[in-house]
Amino acid sequence: MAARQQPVPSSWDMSSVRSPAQRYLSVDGCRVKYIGPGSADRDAAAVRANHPVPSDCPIYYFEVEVVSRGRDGFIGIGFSTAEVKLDRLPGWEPHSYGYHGDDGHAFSGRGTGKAYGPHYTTGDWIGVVLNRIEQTISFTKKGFELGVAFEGVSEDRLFPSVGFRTPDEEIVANFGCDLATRPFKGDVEWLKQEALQRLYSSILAAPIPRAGKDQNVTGELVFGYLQHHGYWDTAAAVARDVLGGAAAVSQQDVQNMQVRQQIDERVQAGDIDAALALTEQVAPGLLAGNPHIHFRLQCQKFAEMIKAGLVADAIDHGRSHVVPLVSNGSGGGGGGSAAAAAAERELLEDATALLAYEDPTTGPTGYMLLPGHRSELAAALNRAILAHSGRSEDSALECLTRQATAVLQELKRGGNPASQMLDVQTLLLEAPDTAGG
Amino acid sequence: MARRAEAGNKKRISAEEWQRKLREVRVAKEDMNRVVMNFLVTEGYVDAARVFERESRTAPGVDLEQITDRMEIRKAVQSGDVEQAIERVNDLDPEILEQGHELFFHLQQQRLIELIRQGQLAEALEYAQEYLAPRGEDHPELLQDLERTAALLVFEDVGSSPLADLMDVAQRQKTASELNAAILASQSQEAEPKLPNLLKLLMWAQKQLDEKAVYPRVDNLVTAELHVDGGN
Repeated sequence: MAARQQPVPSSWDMSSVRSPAQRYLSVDGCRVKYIGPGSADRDAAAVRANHPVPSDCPIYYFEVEVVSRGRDGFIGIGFSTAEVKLDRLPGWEPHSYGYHGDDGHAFSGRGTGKAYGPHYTTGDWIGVVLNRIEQTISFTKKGFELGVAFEGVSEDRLFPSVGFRTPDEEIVANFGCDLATRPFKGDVEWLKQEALQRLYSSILAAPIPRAGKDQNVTGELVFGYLQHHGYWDTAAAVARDVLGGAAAVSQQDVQNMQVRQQIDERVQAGDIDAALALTEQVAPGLLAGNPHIHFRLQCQKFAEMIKAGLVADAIDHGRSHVVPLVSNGSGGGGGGSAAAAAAERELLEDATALLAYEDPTTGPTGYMLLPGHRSELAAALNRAILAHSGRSEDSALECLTRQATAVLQELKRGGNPASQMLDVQTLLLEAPDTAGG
Repeated sequence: MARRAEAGNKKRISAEEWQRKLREVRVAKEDMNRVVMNFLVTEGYVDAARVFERESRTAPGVDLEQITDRMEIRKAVQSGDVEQAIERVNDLDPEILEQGHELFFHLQQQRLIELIRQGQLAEALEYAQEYLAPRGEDHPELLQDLERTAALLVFEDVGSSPLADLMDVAQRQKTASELNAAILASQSQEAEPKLPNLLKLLMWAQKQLDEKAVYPRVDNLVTAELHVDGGN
């Protein structure tokens, strides 16, 4: 769902062999061996992956297997940015992070590390986890979780990196690019699942904001939803049991909804006159105040008359009731924008074009008489009626669902890492049980 | 309003553009109905769930009879009738208390509290010696709680003692919720409805997006009205 797919690390980078230290490394795809003198810290040499971890990746994982500890097993595994010099072990410089095999220490931005995990040596494999949600780096050794090594890791472009210091040290990395033939040894899904659980817990730990301490937000939302969709009996039960009688189904609402349903049926059946009369009844003044919807209805009536073969009547109707309603920008009331006026003229032309055909439904503008067009008009009229009575098309619950989905999509598009793991549908319909609350 | 000042580098999403995005989101009525049913069922509104099943043809997904039992057990604890609650839980599924040492202890503790509340001190003492004391021997992890509970017997006016929190009605709620969650778990049901998760996800997501963009946001969850900050 990200805006564009970012490249992922797939091998060690041999193109940036600018550093003299690169002479000390023999690099072959995912395999690196130290072939330098290895007599002092200045002989250290590091290599980076060919691409940084994608910035929107919430949990990034790669593995390094120690093929040989070489002379002293002075290997560093971690991440660094492109600016970090490659004659240094990861962790010795700012913007680099490393877990070192000879002492098990974790290094970040300085030559002395802090005690972190066990040593590692020939035959061991180290899993490296960059968690962008929590801004941490942690490691596993032979699948055993060693915990968080670094916090506050906020660099945007971090490359997997390994560094060496003594002769014959050799590793092979797995960036997970070909899991079919080279699966990870570690359980990445589990690591991701754990991270997701923590993310859920932190999201769900927040209280629901409410207007007063007695406000029952969820109860009111459910009640509103039930009313909106005409589940009157359930609404009444919820008002009684959930809201403790603090709300009640309004009889006016029940009636209005029934009328709206009738209007919908009339439009779908092509009986525009009845729809117009009912609209005036349930939303007095709506048609006068909204010439655009009024025009669309009268235009539809014109089309329906042609379909019924009442061509002469249709022409009369068109002259007296349709054409005068076309907005021209000179005081047509609402909906008077140039675009709206153009759309109305186009609709009028399509409607009049029906006159040219013996069977108007087969003409190029026959769509006007198809169920799809009618139900679209019916829905537009329903929206107008709801808006007229100060109600929205959706219940608050549906609005919130839309909003949450849209905001999440926007976050995903913007590269927010945590959002990549979230999905409204999943949360609503199959949320994993997080006991938090 | 505070957001306006720092809106300088943020992406601006106009009301029209946002409306278009919102309309693109498909919200299936069946899904919403399931969320509503889940709310009614997990919160234990059996009557409403039954009516909703009939009106919307949404399956409750659980046995509504069991909910009735669960709600009555909850009510018993909340009204201080712990004895009845224990009896009914054992009728429902004896394993719940056999395996939940801590829960069982908390129920017994609650029973003791209720006896003290009613001023039946002799009974309370007897109950503590007969039922609570042996539990500490079997489950050392409960000892500290047990000692604290036993101390209830010593204070003449528990309400103004350091143990006042135990006498609070909130303690009943706590015990009732713990029992409720255990029953749900025994029936492999979720303890929490999903609807609040939607609201929390929305609040979280908006907060994240606030850092990057100015867009119409929802501040009032009940009305779900969109507010455009900083104008456009």
